[in-house]
Amino acid sequence: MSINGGHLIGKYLAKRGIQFAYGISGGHIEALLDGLQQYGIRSIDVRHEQAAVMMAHATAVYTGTPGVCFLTAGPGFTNGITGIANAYLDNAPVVVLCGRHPLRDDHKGALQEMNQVDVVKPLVKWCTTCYDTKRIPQYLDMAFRHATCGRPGPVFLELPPDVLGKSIDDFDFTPSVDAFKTVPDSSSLYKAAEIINSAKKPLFIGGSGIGYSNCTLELQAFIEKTGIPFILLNNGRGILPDNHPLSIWNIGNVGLMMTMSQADVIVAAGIRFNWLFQSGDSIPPTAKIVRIDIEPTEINRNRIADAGLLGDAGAALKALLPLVEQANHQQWLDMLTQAGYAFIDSEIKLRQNPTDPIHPVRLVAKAQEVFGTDALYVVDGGDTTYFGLVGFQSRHKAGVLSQSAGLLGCLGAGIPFAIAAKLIHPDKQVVVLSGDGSFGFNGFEFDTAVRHNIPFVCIVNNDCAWGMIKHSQELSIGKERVTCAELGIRHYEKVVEGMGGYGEFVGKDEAIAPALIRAKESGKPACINVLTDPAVTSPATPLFYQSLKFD
Amino acid sequence: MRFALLLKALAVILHIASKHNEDFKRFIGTVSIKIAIKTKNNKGRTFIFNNGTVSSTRSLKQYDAALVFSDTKTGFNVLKEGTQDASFYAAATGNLYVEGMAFFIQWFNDAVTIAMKKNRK
Repeated sequence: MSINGGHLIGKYLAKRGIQFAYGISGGHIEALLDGLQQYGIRSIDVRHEQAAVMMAHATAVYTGTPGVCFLTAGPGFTNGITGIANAYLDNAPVVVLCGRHPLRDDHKGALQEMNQVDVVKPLVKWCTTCYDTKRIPQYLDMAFRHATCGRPGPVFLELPPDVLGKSIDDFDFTPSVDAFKTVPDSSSLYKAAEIINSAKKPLFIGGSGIGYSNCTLELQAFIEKTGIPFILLNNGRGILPDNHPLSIWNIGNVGLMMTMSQADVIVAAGIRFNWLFQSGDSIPPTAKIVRIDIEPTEINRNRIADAGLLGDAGAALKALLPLVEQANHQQWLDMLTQAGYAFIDSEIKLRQNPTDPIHPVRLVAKAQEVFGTDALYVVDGGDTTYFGLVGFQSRHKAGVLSQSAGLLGCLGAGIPFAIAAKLIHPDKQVVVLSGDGSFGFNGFEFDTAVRHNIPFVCIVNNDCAWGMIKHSQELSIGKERVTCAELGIRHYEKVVEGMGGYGEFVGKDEAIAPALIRAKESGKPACINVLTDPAVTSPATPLFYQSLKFD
Repeated sequence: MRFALLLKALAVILHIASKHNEDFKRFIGTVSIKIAIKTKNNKGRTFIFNNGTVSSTRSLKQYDAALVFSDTKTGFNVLKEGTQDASFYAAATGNLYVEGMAFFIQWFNDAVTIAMKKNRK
């Protein structure tokens, strides 16, 4: 029996338990596409390659195992770059399989001949070209190993058509699964435990490292023994439910900033002190910091840690558990909650009361009311991201996600993430809250969702503008000089209807909930386009504006 | 009375900073925003930032965000202390809340901090 390179990839991915691969077809990768089909990997063919990489990224977040996508050579590759960069900055394990021009035609001016590996090198953990069909399983082992070991990230494997299409004798193999977990050294653990045990006003902040560690049990045991109020951010959100009695998500981002300013000990696990933490400046100098990270260069980055625990977040928490004392910080939590509510009093009132025009806070509250905490929420946009991240609550892992709040600030990932979410969790309602600006990037993926019968509800928070930019410009260069920031009223719901989905336009508060219910019941990919107050600014806008202010 | 005087003094400091304090001028830029500091029964002052200028008024009819104290005594004590701790404890004990977006108040606090720093030199 013989097998070609493309089929060898299909065989490898099937043995590894990969269910989905995302991409767009192309002549250079024909053997690969046929191989995926042959071995029962479901290919989700999209309308732009950046969406394919984003879907693979989302698959990694929702499953905790690498997502796989395929790009054809040249423009297929360059279209995928935004998704790859986003996965890289988000530390997402994504395996990118990419076509290229034939080896036979190197330096002859072949169709789509370009140096892809050098272009992608700074955006991935590992990249190379496979020149030998026989070695494909070995190269894929390397790809998956690099994607998952240590701090995760995307990898890039280039496969020429004369390697993919070549037939060789079939052979058996077992993919290598590398499930190593590093544990911090004992002296650091004792030091960390001493700090935690002496805390009067502690706070636990968990990030994507908590999510990729998939450490619900370890985190729950640690939090409930120490009694530390906590917040889970980025891809760590939902490892414990947002409505856990010790979670401070009820007072949102404003509450987080306030809590950080008051805390005497901060345990930061799998989270970077990046610009969203003002590169560490938002943490008071008096607070003691216990840092848990799988990446050694993060431990003291932007803030010297009083105790640094190098290792997998779950393994570190498990090792800490016997060393920390049973404690109760309820009084501190009550103070935080009371103070937090005092600072977000207006937002709470906005959630409860109708306004005309519709306030985005109210829109999110109505959506939460309709879909509840059993849904998976994806948020996409500028101001929209703030309103969604603060307003939605879910009781599931990665239940409220936003890539636009990530390091790349990547707008447009909402719809691709929703499609992947529904594929991974077909039993769950998936809801996207998208800005009208963001919708434009990957709105055409509704076609993908219709063709593959992947229903979800997309709510467009339509303020007829690139809101965050518009409001920043109003602050910086003045209202009269706002430029390239207005979008106007557009009927995105009709675009979706035109592609075979369900669409409705909403302009009044009382119409929100019924429209969302109809969208849910349609069983189709649905778009509810809601006109909201164009004058509203989120607290994230001034933060964004200040971060880009220079002398 | 002490609360009103403190707010008036703050208004003077911010106004002077808008003329002479380069850090402060850079910070406020061309921002157009109105912040009120007041009590629940509407005693206080509105600070108006408009395209690099700072003015104030006792009128409390229009503002983007307000820091609202339970009474003038609490307001005076918290503002005199001038620390995040003082604001936090006032909020945690139900003596202070924010009307409007809290970030605007944070922005105002940062502006006050910058104005105070330079004037202390």
